[in-house]
Amino acid sequence: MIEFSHVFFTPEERKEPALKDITFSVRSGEFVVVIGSSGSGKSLLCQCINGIIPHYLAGTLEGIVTIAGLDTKTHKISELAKKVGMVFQDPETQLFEMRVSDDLAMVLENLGVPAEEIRERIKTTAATVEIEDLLERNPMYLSGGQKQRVAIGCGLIAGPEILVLDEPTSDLDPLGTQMVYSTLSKLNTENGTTIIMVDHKSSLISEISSRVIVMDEGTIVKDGSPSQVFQDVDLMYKIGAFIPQVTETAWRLRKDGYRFERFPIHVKEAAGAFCRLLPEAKAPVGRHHRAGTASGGGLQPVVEVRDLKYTYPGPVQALKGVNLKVSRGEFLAIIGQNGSGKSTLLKTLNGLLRVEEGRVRVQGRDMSRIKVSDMAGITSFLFQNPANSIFCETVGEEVAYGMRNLSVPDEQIRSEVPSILTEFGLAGLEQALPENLSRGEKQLTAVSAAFAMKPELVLFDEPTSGMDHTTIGLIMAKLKQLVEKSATVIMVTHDMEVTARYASRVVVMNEGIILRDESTAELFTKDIELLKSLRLIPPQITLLAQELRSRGKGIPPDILTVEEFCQTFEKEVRL
Amino acid sequence: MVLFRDYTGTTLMHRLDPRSKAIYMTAVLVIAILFSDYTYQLAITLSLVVPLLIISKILARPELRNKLFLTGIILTFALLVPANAVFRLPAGDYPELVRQGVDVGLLFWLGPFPVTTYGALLGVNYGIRILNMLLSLLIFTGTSFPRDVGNSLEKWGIPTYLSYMFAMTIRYIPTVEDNVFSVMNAQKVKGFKGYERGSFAEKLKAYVGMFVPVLLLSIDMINKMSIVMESRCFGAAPKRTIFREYRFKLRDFLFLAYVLSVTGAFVALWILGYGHAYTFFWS
Repeated sequence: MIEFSHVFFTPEERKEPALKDITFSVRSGEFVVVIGSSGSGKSLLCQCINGIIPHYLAGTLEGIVTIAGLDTKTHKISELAKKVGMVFQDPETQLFEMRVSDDLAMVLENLGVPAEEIRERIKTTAATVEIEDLLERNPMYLSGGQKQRVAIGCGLIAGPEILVLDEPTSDLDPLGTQMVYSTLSKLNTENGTTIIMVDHKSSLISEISSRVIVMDEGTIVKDGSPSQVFQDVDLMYKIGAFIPQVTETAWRLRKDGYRFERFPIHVKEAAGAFCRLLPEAKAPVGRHHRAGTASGGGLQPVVEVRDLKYTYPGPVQALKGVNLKVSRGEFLAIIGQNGSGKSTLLKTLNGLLRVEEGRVRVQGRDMSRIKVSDMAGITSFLFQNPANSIFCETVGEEVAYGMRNLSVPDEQIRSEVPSILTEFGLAGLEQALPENLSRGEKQLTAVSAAFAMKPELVLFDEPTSGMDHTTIGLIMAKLKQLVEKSATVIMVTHDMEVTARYASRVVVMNEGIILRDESTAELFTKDIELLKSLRLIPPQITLLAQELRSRGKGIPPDILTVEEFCQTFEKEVRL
Repeated sequence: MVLFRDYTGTTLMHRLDPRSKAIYMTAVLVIAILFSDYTYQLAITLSLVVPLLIISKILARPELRNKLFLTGIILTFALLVPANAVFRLPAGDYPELVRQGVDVGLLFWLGPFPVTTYGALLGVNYGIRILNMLLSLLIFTGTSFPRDVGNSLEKWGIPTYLSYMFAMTIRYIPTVEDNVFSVMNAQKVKGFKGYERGSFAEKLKAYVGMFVPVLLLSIDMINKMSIVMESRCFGAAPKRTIFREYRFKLRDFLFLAYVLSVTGAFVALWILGYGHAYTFFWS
């Protein structure tokens, strides 16, 4: 179906090829996921498949790419479009119309397909991707998952046998991601569509795909079934890919001499493997002991929210009476579904949304009167999409911008900027243009600029969205350091692994109210059912611990991180 | 703000063919320009604008209920009426008009300028004229999807690229607006006080400074969009098909019959010499 034979691609502005000697083939009906660090050439690979390379992107293509028997060099994009559908990351730049049906029709209209047939195909495609009830809606007002389903519909409508998706779930919450994955899975199994998808949500990848291709620096470094590929944990680390937590745990324990024939990927599989190694529990299993769980009481309050209500025009009541107290040195995660009011709450803490009903005090300041710019230097706010946080012409300028507004002397700015950039792994990029950076580098730029202003309170909307594993690790470690220096961090997140690992306290929101406000360990042990009802899946490692416990092993149910699991495991085995 | 974000509706105006509404708007533009007498201008408002405003329920939309829109209308009148009252008649022409026996309703002299009722009423006419044009444009664009306007005009021979340019420009106005707010927020969060404090000049400077980042965001967006457009085979077939049907229905004919007969009547009046500025009612 797809054949790459010794393909090299050198973009016009570069001397070195960005794709080097790519050779692989994909059979009809396969579900292939391509993973790799940013800049590894994944997107270019996708663009080779539908003919954007060489027909649209300037550069030199060597080697042969054939798609369903058509050589991409000699066939136009419009000919290839009948064989290959494309779906991109950003809904904003691929849904051009104000009605879903217009977007679906676009490719067929451009190909000159008769109107009657287009109407028929809109119906069948909408049924396939389950958007029949959205056809006359404005894509702008759909949820992220719905938007990407529409985009998949746009890719499918010309009837291609191959669907290529370039990071379709980067901007989606877990619910939206599940929505997209279930659609893809159905297309693959029921319609036999061949799917090539660039993505990096590993625990899910292993469940839906039949094959994983790993790219690094423009070449394919690994190619096999998910369970084969994830065995090479060292490689996964190197490219910053997500590793399923149970896989990582087995990998660490093997280093300590425990025998695993192969690394497990799923919880069930892992439970079997760990069960064999663990003795039965000898005493009733208690809680895992960990130092210092903050409660929010007693210490000096940084944030005080009382009876906060917020209504958007429409009217949509986003907050329906929220009470919250956060103390200095806390690391708080706010979790919940989309539309639960998390981001609204976060924005009122910085004045981005004005408090109209109720009271919000941040560091003693009444937020109903304060201007956003007056909060600079006290709070730093980071937006979900790093492109929304940065606006200067160079990376260095971006970091200096806030310092200058705080009247930091030029001398000091000049000396501090390079060291801050180095701290965030951006050394040498001081003069780089932000638009040329990868999403991860953009986020690091945004975070370093926020840190340069030495905030007492960091407000972070979705720190991990669309980031690779390495970037997440770096950002979270920096936030943790800040908390250790007695600053406060409040993050809104969907990422349960990050919540479990870093947050000391979690607030669960739903429909504008706070459902739970408790320590992280408590949440993941007592409230599993609540989380599931909100479609928030607890970390794999916690689920593994609970599964082992239910099988009579001595692992406490409130394990939150891989490290905690390994410690407890070794202690149990030694007993 | 939600301007240019919503075109859905079930009123008669929403259901008309976009071409009928385009003809309507053109007709109002033409006669609004013809008449210089405010009474005739007001007659246009009452016969061709107000009824359709009511039918289309366009003024019920939240974006038109904001202060900016109302302030704009009031300011237009507040500027046009006195400005015309004062400056409409060059001081030098005044004695000539008096000699011809034309009554321009002199109120008083403001230094060298004769302040006249005639000028003030011309100002009123300009105000109503602008309102007629603006509201008919709003009735047309606010009740038709840009894609439908583009498509139906394409059926009348407008080139595809023009219809696309039109539909996409309007589609992306809200996106650019969002980009503007996102840049402003990012700057405010980092302590930039230009939008919130300072003099008018400082604020103006702040808004000008925002232009470059918004432009960069837009260029990035256009680059991504052009790849998608290419993948969707834009321009592949010599003649694009349009899957939606655009056909004049009975309601379109009735609507146009009304609009064109009223317009015809106004044009006839104008040809007969009514409603020109110099056939001022007390001259």
